[in-house]
Amino acid sequence: MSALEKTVAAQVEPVLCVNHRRGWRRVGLNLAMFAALLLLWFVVVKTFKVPSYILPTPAEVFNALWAGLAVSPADKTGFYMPMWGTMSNAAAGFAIGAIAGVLIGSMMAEFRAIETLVMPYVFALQSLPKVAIAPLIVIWFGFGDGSKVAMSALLTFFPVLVNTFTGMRATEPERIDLMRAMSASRMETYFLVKLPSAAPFIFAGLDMGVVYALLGAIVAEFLGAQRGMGVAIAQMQSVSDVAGVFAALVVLGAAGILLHMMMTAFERSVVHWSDRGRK
Amino acid sequence: MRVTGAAPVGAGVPLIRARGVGRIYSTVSGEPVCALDGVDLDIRQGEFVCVLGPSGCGKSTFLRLLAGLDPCDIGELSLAGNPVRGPSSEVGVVFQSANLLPWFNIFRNVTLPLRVGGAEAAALAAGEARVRSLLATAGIADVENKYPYELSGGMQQRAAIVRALARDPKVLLMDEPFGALDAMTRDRLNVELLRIWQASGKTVLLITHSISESVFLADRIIVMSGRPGRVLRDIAVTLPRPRTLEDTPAHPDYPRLMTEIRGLLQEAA
Repeated sequence: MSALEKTVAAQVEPVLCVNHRRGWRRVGLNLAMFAALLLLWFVVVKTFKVPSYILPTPAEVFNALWAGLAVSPADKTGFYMPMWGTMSNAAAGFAIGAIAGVLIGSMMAEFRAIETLVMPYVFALQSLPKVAIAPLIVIWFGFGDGSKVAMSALLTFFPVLVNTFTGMRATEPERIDLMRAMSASRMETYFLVKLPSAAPFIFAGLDMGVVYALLGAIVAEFLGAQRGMGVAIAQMQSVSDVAGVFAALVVLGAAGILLHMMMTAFERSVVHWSDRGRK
Repeated sequence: MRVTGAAPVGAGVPLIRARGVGRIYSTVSGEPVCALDGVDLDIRQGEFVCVLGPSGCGKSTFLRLLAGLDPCDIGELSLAGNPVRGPSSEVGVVFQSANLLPWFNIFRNVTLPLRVGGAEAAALAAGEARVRSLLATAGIADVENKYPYELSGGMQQRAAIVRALARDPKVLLMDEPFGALDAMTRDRLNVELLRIWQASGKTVLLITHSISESVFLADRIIVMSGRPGRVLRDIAVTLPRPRTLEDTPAHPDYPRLMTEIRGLLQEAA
């Protein structure tokens, strides 16, 4: 072992410790910041006597949250039933959008003719604010679950499509040469080299897509629905239950973070070789 | 099944035969560039041939033509008497980087040629047995379940050589296989490559930038000129075998060859 290697080896351990300590300090700082924000919120509401139908106090929001969560899951006034409605529609839409995105993205990367034919529409639709299509989706798919699934699928589709396409095209030419030198078929090259090469890109698209799917379902629910968090929020808004609206937003935010974390864990288990996945 | 030692190849007919082989690229701006011009070359079965030349002399281009990765439009190129029309299972290629697939473990990587390109399922068991003995010869049998990123650069390149030999090809084409490795690893791998070559009896064509590497390894050294690449000189390396890192450089012919080739390369560049 050279002198340099010894020095490096001696330093690795303390560096890990420092990182660990830094991590805890960061958590502490974050909690302190959060507490400070809550306090500021409380002080502002009290000092300026803001009515609770404009901005409730943190305590009122917490009470609304508790009221929505500390009930039987089957209780229609709780958050569980509407969350189930929204999440199941978002999940169905996500699955459809993700599969379609990977399929069409792959076809575009694989066949120049398809790329030429489809690319202009992808660009056009991508630059369109897709939420503006929601009223059309409701006209076509009705006020039931169909329009929510469709909206989620549409919002998931684009980031997955674009990332799949980019990822496939970024396959290292040397790896393609390797497959060609072995006389591999197009399908073999696709499944053994191009798809795994694109996997980190595809996961980045799925990560975006999972949050967009939730957004899509909520937007469609705002335009009219029988169930879901969008309906619950609209109902609370109509009776000026702003604390309830805040509580619903907290629940949705938590769901978004949870979905993102699940996707990251899934990515790590699949794309174990990638730097992004291994971190 | 492959036919080993078939009479026509052994009886004076070269395994690889190039006559007037050339290659013209067109650049992005559409300008034609002549990378290779009128290369004549015969390589007999079992020979170890190194190709040396200045950067951009078309060494790699020639290797890609032989591997069937690029079409040979100018001149004639044949392998075991058949014109090269595309990739063949009689040719194994080792690239500049190890080029292992990071999502497969070492065993899956080195047995990949046995599973793709219409390889026969019946031959898989025999192929796997051969690959296992190759892994042992290359000294990496104990890492077959590891992933490429868990291996050093030298180990990765050994795996790449095993993969190129998995189909038991007649010819091994190597494009600066050890260029990215440090000098010590490179020396060790050169010794091991000679051992594998002598054990397997393959025909090897190795492209390199290193004069000492080519003198250490080759039966013959083909020195190429700068662009467009032509064969400048075909030098027989008469150093005795087996060669070792200690004895070979001490042989009286060694410095003479080094000086001769260095002079040629200076002239070529």
